[in-house]
Amino acid sequence: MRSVKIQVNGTAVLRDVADNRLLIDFLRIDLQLTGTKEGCSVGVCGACTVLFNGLPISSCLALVAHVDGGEVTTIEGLPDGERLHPVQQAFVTHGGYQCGICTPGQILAAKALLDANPRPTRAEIQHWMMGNLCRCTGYYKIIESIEAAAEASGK
Amino acid sequence: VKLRHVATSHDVGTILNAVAHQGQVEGGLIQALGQAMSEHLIVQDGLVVTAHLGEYKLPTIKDIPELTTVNVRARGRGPFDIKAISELTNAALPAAIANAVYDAVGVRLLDLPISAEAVFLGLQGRKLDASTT
Repeated sequence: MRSVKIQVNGTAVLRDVADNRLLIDFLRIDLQLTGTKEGCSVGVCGACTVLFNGLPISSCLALVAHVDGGEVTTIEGLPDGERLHPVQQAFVTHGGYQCGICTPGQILAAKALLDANPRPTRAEIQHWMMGNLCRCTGYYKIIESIEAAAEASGK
Repeated sequence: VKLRHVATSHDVGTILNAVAHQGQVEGGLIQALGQAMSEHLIVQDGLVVTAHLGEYKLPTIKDIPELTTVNVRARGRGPFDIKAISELTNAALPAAIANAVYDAVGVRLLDLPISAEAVFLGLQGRKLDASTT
């Protein structure tokens, strides 16, 4: 066991966790933040993507101990009250999701991209987002959604 | 084998939701692309041995071709002249890719996925052993 202190979606969380506790189980089971989805469990599909100090990581491969002292953002941390984050709104408007399992990971990865590069080219979007698999959309509308979110941010 | 461009045409009724309709077309096509070109479910002695997504290659956002969609308006059987789109769009693409390979190099492939190895062996008059690749 170890005591950890993590900023989760802007709130300090202090917990005692087992040394081998996975971040995804900590988020989904201990904190009940079930917006983060578990897809492949081996770090190739990107469904479990969360942001650690602003950068995307696979929460199915990270230990809670890895993120001790840092900031973790999940999909629950994006909206401002009832108001969706611009990337979330763009995915809704432009059909960037269908079944929804990959969507939290897609949106967090896209947010990290736009934070680092506010006006990415289509090729840059495709390069950054290739770690997030989607079975439903065929990806065209995910690209459209990210382009629309970049446009809407006006940067 | 590289897919450069897909042109797809659909016999549609009244489209109720244009974004969702096009999403179904695109999603079905990319499922077909995966089935045709990279997804290989390997079965040995009756057991699936492709254990997880690390071994089963789904197309990524980098693998999608240029796309042209043409909707041809026809009468639908449902109310408001509607009809289904769903995943009908994944039916034709594997055969179209196989035909394109045959047209290009004369190799007739009847098994999926259509891999570089299968085309190479086909050019030599040999066949890929599907159980070992």
